[in-house]
Amino acid sequence: MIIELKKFGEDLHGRPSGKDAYDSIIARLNDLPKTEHIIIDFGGVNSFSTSWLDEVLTPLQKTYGNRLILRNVTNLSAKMSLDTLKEVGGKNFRIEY
Amino acid sequence: MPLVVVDLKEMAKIADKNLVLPIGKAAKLLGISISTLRRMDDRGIIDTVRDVERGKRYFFKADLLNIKFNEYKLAREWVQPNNHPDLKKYKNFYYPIEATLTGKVTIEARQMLQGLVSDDYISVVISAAMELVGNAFYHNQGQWPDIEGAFYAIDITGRRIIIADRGVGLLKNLKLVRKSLNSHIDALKVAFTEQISSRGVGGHRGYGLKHARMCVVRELKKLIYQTGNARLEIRAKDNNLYTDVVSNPIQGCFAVIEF
Repeated sequence: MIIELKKFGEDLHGRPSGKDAYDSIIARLNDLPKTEHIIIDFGGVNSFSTSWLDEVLTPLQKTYGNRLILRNVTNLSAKMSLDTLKEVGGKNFRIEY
Repeated sequence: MPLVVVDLKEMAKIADKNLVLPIGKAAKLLGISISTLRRMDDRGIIDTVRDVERGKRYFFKADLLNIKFNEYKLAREWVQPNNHPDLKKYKNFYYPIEATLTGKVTIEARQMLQGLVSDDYISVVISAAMELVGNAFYHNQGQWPDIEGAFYAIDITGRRIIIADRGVGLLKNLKLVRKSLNSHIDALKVAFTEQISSRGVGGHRGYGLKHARMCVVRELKKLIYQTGNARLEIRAKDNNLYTDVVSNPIQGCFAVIEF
């Protein structure tokens, strides 16, 4: 399944908004076959912050592990937010290059 | 004004980096008299660090350059302790609700910056600013001492954003999760270097200020951050945190992002 982050907004910031997005995403993953990947597409979003991404990606990774794949991570603020999650919190996500 | 003891080794380090100036040079930089500058320090408009042994005060070069920006002075007044800012005076800068300020930063700041810098650079400016906006609102939720909300101003010519709040500051918040913290300066250092948050539990959260730091070190120019009597300066391509106990404590948090 592909989740397009641009459908959640052009600028993705703040924990409350991130948590809302996570709740919306997780509701769509209920019937997902156990082998299917969850692809999070970063394309088309103008800016990200660590807080928003942490609320969305951290619990998804906890549940789906390596089945979670990040696609189109080209925006600089997205790359740096993921770097912060990695350097400060030790969180590594599978990024498709 | 409280006397502030400065570690002379630290002072030498920041003087070497051209971060502080003695009063004569500071007055010359601003083109004002020494006595006027001294009064500005006494009124809390600008901060100094004191070399008690030599009886000298030093001014931060970054603050001296920022004070030419009127909104900087307004923001400094906004965070003065025992002050009740006249909200009419702040109508263009005061945002009581987080959503309104989010719109201002993400939409208006982008429009203002488009064509001046790359879209990627804009995304990093907005990312750092939004972490500071988030901190101002969420970390004071339910505990605002007087005025709820944040001060925000952007100066496109001088390339700076100011975000300030009259909240409880870092020390009171972080003390909830680390009782050993006893000073603003320790709380400030911890907030910018460790994954710690007064909100939520279980190693979750606590990235915002570290992310703002990374944005500045890797891409932007400078971050000046004050809470209580603790001031921090972070500069591009420099992993050091320059922290000082300063002459004029504030209420809440005060941040200037230079980009």
